[in-house]
Amino acid sequence: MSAEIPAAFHLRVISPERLLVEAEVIEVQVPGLDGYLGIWPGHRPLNACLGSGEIIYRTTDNREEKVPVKGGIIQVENDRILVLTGMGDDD
Amino acid sequence: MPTLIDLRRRIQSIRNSQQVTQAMKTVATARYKKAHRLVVERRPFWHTFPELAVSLTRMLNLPEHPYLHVRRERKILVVVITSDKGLCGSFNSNLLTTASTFLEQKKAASEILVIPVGKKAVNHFKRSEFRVEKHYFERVDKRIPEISDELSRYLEYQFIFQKLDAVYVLYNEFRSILGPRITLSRLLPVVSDSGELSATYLEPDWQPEANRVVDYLLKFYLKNQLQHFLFESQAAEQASRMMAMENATKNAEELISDLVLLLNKIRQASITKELLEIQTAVEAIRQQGV
Repeated sequence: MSAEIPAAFHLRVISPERLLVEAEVIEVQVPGLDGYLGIWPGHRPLNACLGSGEIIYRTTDNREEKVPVKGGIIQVENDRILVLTGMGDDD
Repeated sequence: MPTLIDLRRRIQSIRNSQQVTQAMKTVATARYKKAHRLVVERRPFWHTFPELAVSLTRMLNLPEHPYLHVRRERKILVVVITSDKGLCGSFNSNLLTTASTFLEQKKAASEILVIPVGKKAVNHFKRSEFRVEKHYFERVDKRIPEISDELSRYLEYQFIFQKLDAVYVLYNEFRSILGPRITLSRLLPVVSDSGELSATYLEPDWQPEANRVVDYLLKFYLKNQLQHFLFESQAAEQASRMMAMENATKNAEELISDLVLLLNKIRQASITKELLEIQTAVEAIRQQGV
């Protein structure tokens, strides 16, 4: 099983206005409704609502970056993470 | 044969029209650039959102969810999106033709309601046999958030309380400046792809409960989709107008050059004629031997 764990995720964060982040990452922290969730490669599939805060992610070249979000949904599948955010506040 | 004065007048009037089409093209180009940028920036969201909705609802298998409930189409509603203004080639007429064909097909099995958006559609459906439930026109392009908000609330209510069994949207999707693609999309019930889940499928975690995650997502579904369709239509409209005006300017140019050629021929001919007359007169006088 451990052999199947991918080394990195493909992270995409999308708001109604534009694509906020598209990157290969090795670690992601997202603001869940009950506090931050840490996600590492090999995380089991997850669908969750997000609260407000910052998505903190570490790219494959070991840079740490942040992007603020306000509400949204995260979907974690084998090797990709999709975050849709800002649905409610477009106008 | 037209006289010189007639021709000059015609050329001048075509020049005037050309200036107008040229100016309209410039305006359309500026608007097109803006609309195009917006569509390109927002497409990732528009396209991922329904995909995510489908993939989440598939995991849940909720045929009874108010948004997903597929039933026999006794009463359907069709939203037809056109532009407010004309002079954009076949943008509106093609769409309305497609709309008529679609409605004719559906007419036998279902009762049909129509919501036209844009002045062209409103005028078209005023004279048709179909019942117009609501309509939106005038400054649609400036009111997209407001319209999609109100319309989505209305549709949601009607669908959940089973006053409608399906909602379709017919609109021009922006493809390239060469032409839009007429697209028919079923807005409600939300299409839930019932394909097989793959063998390596792991039951996902949900946080909070699955129903609430899906509800949260679907709450924005209608509005997001309607906005998508309206913005696409707008970008396509500006592109069509830009092309139509460009063609008109080009045609005017051709017409002018044809007319100028004709004008010159006639002018030349009359000069030749006068020269001949003078020459004849001179000859005649010389032969009389004065």
